[in-house]
Amino acid sequence: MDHKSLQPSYCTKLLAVTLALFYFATGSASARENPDQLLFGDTHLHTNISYDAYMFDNQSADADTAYRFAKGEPTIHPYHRARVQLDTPLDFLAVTDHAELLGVAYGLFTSGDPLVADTRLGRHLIELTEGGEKRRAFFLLLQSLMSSGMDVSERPERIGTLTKLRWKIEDLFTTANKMERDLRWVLSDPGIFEELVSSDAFRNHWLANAAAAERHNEPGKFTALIGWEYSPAPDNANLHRVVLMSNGEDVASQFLPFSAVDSDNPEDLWRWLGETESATGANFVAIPHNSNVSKGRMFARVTTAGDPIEEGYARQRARWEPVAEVTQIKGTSETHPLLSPDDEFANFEFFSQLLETRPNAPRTPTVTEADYVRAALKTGIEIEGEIGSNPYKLGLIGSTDGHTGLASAEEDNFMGKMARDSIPENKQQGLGRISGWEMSASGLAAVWARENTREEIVSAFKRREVYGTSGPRIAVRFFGGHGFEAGDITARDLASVGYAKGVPMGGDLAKSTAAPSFLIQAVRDPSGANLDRIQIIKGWLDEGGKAHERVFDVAWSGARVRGANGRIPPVGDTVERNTAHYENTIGAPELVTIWRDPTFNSDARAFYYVRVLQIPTPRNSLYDSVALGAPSPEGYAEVIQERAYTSPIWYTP
Amino acid sequence: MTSAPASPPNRKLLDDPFIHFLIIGSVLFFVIRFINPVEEQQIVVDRQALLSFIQYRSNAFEARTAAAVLDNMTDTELQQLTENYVREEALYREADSLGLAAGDYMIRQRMVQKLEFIANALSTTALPTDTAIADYYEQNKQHYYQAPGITFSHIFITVDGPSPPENAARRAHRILDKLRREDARAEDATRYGDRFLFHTNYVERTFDYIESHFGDKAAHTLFSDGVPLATWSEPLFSKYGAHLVYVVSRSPGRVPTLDEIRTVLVEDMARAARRDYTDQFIDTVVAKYAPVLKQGRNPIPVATNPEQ
Repeated sequence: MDHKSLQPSYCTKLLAVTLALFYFATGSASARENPDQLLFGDTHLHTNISYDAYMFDNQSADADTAYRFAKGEPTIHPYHRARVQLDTPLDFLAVTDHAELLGVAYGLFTSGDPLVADTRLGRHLIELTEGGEKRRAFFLLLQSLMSSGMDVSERPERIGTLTKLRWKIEDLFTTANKMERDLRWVLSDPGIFEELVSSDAFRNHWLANAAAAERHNEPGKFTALIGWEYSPAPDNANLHRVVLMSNGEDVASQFLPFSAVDSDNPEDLWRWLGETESATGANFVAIPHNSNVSKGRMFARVTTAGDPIEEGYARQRARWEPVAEVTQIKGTSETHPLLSPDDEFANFEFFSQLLETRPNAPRTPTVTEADYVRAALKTGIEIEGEIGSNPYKLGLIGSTDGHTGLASAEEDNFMGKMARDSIPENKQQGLGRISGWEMSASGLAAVWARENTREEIVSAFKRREVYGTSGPRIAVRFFGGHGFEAGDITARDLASVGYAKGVPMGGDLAKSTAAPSFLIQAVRDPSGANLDRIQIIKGWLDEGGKAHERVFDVAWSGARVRGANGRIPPVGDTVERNTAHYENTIGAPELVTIWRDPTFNSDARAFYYVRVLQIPTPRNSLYDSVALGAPSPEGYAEVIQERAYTSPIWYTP
Repeated sequence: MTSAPASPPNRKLLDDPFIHFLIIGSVLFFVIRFINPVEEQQIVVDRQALLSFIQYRSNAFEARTAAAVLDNMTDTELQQLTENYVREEALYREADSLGLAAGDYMIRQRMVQKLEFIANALSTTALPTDTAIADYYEQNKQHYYQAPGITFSHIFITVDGPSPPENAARRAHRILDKLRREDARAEDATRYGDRFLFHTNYVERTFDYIESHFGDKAAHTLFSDGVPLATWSEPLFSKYGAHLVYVVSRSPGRVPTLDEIRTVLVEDMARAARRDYTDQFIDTVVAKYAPVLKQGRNPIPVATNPEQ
């Protein structure tokens, strides 16, 4: 069963399609060298071997299911067992299970894998679950993970046989304190947790995921990327990164993924990535996500140790983390109204809960400049102004972070964050204290590539010629340069003009005396809603070295006229609240414009990125409430304006 | 009872439950000895036994590492390991012979899980033969149906912007004349007309895809025989404007040949085989037992195995 040995007829077919594409190659000779394929995919998806996915009822959707679903095949939903399918298949997918506890829950409770089940903690967790205390088991597992890096001096004393005996006797009379005791027991001996996670089960699951990717990877047609999630959460602050590679199973099988058990300091991850690249020939990219629940730590001005960022750190970080995820099921990390008070569209899909596991700790996320990507872009140019290097030169993407094994970013076809909150009736209850309606059906990573292969996709991430959407397949071209003319917006080969006269998203503009101009084209999702407007978000440095931001409306549908307040009036709203139906009678299928920066200062560092807004469409909570015949759940928007965010273009004098 | 005279010491001894336990225990011991006369009980400590012992103890199933550990042990360590092994084995055998496993729900569950696991693992070994693949293909080929597809290029004439709607048709006809005069082919499409929102060339696209780009009506026209092959069509209209279309080919919906999808088939067969094997295995085991229901308010209908 060698996946690499293509069958003769398949080869012939591939050749025919390739030839046909070549035959159809258009425009100037350089057009083929420019990325002319727009690929939509998900870089962040969990399956049943992620411990949290498993505990919230995804016991069956594995990597095979995930790739099949992404390719548009009908699959079984792991919770409600109905057949589910994507209307428009994805072009690529990375299954990125948590490296921490990889396969442990599945091994303990489904396969009975002796490698994990025959450990001290494994046996105890099985005992708890069989005794009907699944929640307690999950909590204990999670707490064990969270405390894995704890210093010996902080740990409680080892539990002696006498104490254990006393606990056993106490258990006969009272159920109080059980959790505390379990935790004390696990923490007292680091070996208890280590033997659970250091077994060969970890390797087996990693290899199985890599093998599944290898089976489903079809260069030119569908790309299955190999990756994992590195999930450190010191003090319950989310510092998670997805790690992807452009290589195949042959390279992946040479190492075990770096996890928070190895270190919860991302600087150690970068060091490991460098060493592993040298040792194995791997080619990695790391993507931070959910800075919105990082408690002010993701894009801080200091290193993990609290020192000011220096050039070495900035370079290291920029090397490994060229893009950030700004939209996903757990909300938006672009910006927040408190950080961008003049941005009338900043109020979009917040996630209002920290991923806090400790019972009495505060749960409201912080809103600081280190929690959001737009602010990080500003911090980046400020730091660059001081030390000459920018740690936060970030491209923007979206992805789902689904835990159902099903990459779904569509409000009307949403499979849930976890398997359990996939059905309307479970959403009220949600996942403990987090309602299912808190979740946003989002997002996608859009990649401009020459072909649909692992190498091309990872290389697009590295040069940041990528962008994110909150779900719809909005096509966006964004070029910055100096020679754009009015006629260019109707050019047949708009992209060739863009590449010839400027740089694409993710690129750099060098010092110029004249203001740069930007050629922008946005086309709506062919099977989705029309577009409301194109905006440019500009960030720049003032003479004092402080960064500022401003949002410009640069193209919009219809004959709307800028108001006295300088704003374009709202596009309208066609969503019927009682049927969750909308019409494309407002908005435009395509918006194209050339925009020149009216506030340009040739001496000031700046960045520009594009945000495209759709007309209002129903949110998943409205679809649910219509289905339930119940009022729309309070506290959640009935309609949303889905959007695309491009990677910036930087101006560096 | 409280006022009862003090019993003689030996009487008190006979009341002690511990003594009862000892007496009953000894009786049971001799009865069991009588039924199962003790043979020479040996615990063989060989290299293999120690190697698997090391691997289970360390939860690392790597024979080579275990061998290295064993070979590098000092005499004291080896003696300690041997003692531990003997101790565990002896206690296990004794517990086993006393039937302590019976009624332990943990052990029940573990054994059930292990059997399922083994069934699953066993099933993965065989690779299907060509005949098996052919049979599977015949039975399941409808699952691999490929939807009809179309390959074409088009020239788009917008109704947006400078040209009012009624002009689009006129402009389209002018371009069509020019195409015919210049003997333009599909690959020349980009040299004429306006930029379309989506693509100029569509290769092997399905109806749904074309419908999302051109709308329902135009998609139906494109897939019908009304638009001739290998020539520029008369203008057809979508909600965006007029289109002159050069259809290169239309592929009817079809089931791919076995060779085209062999790799996929083999993969799907392996999955199906694993599932079937496990199910079958469980069915066979369950069928060996006849459920006898003795409880329940109403008689519960029991599915009978047709083979019995």
